[in-house]
Amino acid sequence: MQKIENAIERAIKFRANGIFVSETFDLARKQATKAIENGLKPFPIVVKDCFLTKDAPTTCASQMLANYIPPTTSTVVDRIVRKGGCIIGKTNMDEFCMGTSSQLGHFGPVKSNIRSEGGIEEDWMIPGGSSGGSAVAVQTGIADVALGSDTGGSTRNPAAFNGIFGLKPTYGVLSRQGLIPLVNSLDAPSIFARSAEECWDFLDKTRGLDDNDSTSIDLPESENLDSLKNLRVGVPIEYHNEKLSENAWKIWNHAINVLKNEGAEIFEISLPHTKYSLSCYSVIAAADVASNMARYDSVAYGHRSSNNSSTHEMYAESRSESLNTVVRRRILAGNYFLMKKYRSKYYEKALKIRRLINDEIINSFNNLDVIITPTASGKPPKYSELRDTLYSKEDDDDYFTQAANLAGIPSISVPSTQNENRENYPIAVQIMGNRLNDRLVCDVARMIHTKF
Amino acid sequence: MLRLFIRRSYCTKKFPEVAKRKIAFEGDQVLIRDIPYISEIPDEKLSEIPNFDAKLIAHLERLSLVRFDSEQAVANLRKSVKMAQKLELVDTENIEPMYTVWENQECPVFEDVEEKSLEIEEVFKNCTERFDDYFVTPPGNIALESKDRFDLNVINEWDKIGNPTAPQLKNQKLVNSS
Amino acid sequence: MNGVHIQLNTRTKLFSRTLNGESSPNRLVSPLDMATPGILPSLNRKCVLHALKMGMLFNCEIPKISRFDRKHYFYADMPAGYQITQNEKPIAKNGRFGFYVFDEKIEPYWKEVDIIQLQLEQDSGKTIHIDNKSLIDYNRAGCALVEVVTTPCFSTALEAICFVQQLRLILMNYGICDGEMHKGQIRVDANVSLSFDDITGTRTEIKNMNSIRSIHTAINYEIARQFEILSNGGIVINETRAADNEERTVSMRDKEVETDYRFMVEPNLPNLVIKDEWLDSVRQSLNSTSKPKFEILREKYGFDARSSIHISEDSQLLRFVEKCVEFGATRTILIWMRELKTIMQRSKSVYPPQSQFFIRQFVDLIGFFEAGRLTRLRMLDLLRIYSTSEQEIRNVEQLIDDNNYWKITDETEIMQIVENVLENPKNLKIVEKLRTGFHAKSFNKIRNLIVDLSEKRIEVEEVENILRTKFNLVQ
Repeated sequence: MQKIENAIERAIKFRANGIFVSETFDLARKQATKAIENGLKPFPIVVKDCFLTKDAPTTCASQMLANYIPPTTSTVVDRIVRKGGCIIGKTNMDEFCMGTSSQLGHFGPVKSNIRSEGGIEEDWMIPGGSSGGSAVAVQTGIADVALGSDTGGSTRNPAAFNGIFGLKPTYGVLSRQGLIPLVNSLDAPSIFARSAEECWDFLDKTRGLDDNDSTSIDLPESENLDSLKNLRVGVPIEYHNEKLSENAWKIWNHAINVLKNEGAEIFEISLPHTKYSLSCYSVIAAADVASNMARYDSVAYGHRSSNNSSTHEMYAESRSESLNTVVRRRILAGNYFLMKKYRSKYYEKALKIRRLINDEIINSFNNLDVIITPTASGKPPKYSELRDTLYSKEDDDDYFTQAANLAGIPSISVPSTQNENRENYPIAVQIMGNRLNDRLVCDVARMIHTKF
Repeated sequence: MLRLFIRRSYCTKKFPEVAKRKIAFEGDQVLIRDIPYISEIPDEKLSEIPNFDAKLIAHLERLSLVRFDSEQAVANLRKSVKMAQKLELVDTENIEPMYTVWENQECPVFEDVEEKSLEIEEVFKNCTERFDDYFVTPPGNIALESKDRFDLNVINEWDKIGNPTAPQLKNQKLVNSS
Repeated sequence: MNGVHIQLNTRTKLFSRTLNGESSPNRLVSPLDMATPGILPSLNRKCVLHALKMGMLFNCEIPKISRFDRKHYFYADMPAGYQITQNEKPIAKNGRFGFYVFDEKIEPYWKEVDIIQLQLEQDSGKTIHIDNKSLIDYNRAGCALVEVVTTPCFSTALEAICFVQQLRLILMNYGICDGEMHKGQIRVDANVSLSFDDITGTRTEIKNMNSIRSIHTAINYEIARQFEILSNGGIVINETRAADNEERTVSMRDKEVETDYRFMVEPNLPNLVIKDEWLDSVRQSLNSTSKPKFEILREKYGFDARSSIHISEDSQLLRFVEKCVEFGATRTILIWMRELKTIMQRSKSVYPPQSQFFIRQFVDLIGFFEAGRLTRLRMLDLLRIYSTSEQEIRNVEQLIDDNNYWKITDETEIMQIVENVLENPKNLKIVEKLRTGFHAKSFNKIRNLIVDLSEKRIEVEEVENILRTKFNLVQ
């Protein structure tokens, strides 16, 4: 119980960081009491505000859902609460999960706690996105574990930018019931923690088939890895691109050295379609967004405009008033790519290229156990820097994480802990494994952690 | 098995990418190529995209029921389309589209047994306009009117004459919790 | 292409386990039905079985794998902004449906239509228009439909309605649909276009007609409307129209800017792989269900197409006929049923009568008539007695015997009666008149007297023939 109160205290202490959209302290206390009654040890968690929670607002950081209270709770949240999880709050994020910076949501930006000694009023470090709030909650110690989502890197990226672990499981292993979707065939509920073991533990508590999610699967049991000896590690050349910073490369290279020194075999590989993953992802994502967002018509729920001239006029006004510029842009783009005239050129083409990207990664696992890459292009930018690039810098970071979503493979971001010769900002590497090898990637992550 | 990368000296002016060669930490072997792979696809390689006209803008607004708020928004869309042009460089002959991760998964089916539906108050919990036990919309299925409101020239020449501004941040606030 | 939307008779909806039924507005709504964000669809097995059954009934190919798609359009009663349907890979395709086309005036003929595909899909909610707003009820949103998509092969409104009529009876027989059209359980979209010199004209779509009658009048109205436009040199606009209360069609939304549904594979439902055990179960169910009544009446008992359907559509009538047939009747009862109906309506009794005793007598009477043992007039009398009196407990044979109602077959006896009348001095004048030639009034009088004297035991035609011969009359 004390743990919960500590968490609440910290949540209040870090209010300026804009971590939460809604604070659910009383709910957490209630859940803690219930957990104790059931003989469980309560522990604080935070949940990204795109997961439905019956007893608390669920907003997706959008004005469209600013007052929305759902009729049910998402499966993963339900499962972790049953195991003792107590929800301190619903965390802030990029609106409707669209973005890699967590800045443009309706409830304000999430500000990283990293390098915050000079104050975070005027400028601050970007916490990454779209699950920025959950990442900062773990980094500031409000919770030991947090729930995020990852569609193109939305958990791994903020994990890297906050110096913590971010695990995206194999697609389907964690139920998507109750996760407000960005791209249905890429979305994965994902986990933040300060250790690989805690990531795995959370996954273990919440995994498995869900009748409510027809795309969910069981994760078969697998053995622990206790040594890195003879582990076959792939290093794709395409991940050292023009945007990769000096330090990101150095640390990545160092991590590979660590693996080699522990007895792993290192293989240089090529994934030639990586450079198309950004375009491929953006077309598929836009199309899915156009479809998923069609339900926000303000009839049964959601922000409603006062414009009453006709049904479609009302819909258009309600949506245009309450969805931010990023969301609107994706919807319009999605419909462009799906238009009869253009669908085969863009949408269907992107789906074919998805297969090419997928196949080359999956095939590489015929001769490999894991692949190691940087998680992001470099250190987290400052807000002012990002703003001046008109947010285009986000693309640079998406490059590193998107392919794993397209292929549905598990991937974990592992923070570097060694700080000499560096700028003292968080940098991380990413360990990817073949589908259903979630345990393996966590084990490898555990074993290299603190060594690089 | 370790592949050594053979170092050559290049004049950094002649080969600017070599100037970006990375240097490993002391004591580390170079286990990744130290010269960056070119992932950038130059615009010149891509075919032109058609200019956007009022008809297209109106059509998209109608399909999306969302309005463009400025020339910048339309120009941004154009940029997204430009980015998507890269896809045409990939040969996808005889490649099947990939819709989902688990392609051999079979749709589960469930028994025709009822579960409790929502209580009426739960159904209307988030509704702003209600009439007895009905949801309400304004009349008619009239198509969205397209208002000709943009300077097409600005849109289509955005790179040259556009004046981009970054989106504004919103004020930090919390939801009024229940 | 035309579509008939069949609401499946299942307990719960297609993708959610809410009750599929009637209730006060918005009381049968689950999170999925109202498009709550983040809620995913779960497929109802019963719906699959029903669709497979339809596929087998219509001789369709049933592919091993089918798939669901999203069809996008904005409409107030479609909360997700898209409908989950099957577009590219439906559950069944390339089928055939045969039926009779008939009405009072034409000879029935057999027609076969090609069924392009059967699609499992979600129903929308309902909209009520009042004053200056629309009221939305999601009870029906998400209920299971199968859309039967056919080629444009109907030449007349009559063909279209016979198709729907027989389709409905078949679906009801196999428990696939309850067939209550006024409840919207079967809805028809028809595409109407006029062809000229083999060139197909622009088509308009008439939506959601939900009674046989409105289908017929709406299609005919539309054909006439298009004909008038084209005859005056105008152009038919490709648009969607609805049947209004006065059986005209009115424009619904301008289809001129063609709707782009932006079909997309439904990502939350993996491919539907048809299991052998489902097919077996459906086959077994088909084999153990008896054929639709109208088919049995037509094929086994030789009833004509029109009567078979007419009778099947009326459960009272059907029960009556089935009982008759059980007692050995054949299709000849149709004529007598008409007479019976007239008699009972006149006496304000309920037709058809359900008494088993009556039906037995009815069948026996017809039997006697066909064996030549009763005259038509006696038949009518007897029908009157048995259908209106609650007291008669004797069976017909008994009654006829007791009263000697049997037809007189003995020539001598017949002639005796004739002579009796002709020689009756009261009738002298009339007889004289007849000797001079045919006078309808006199003829009928004498005829009626003879028939009365025989106690309606001589057939009217027979008396007439005798009289004509006797008096050398030519009609």
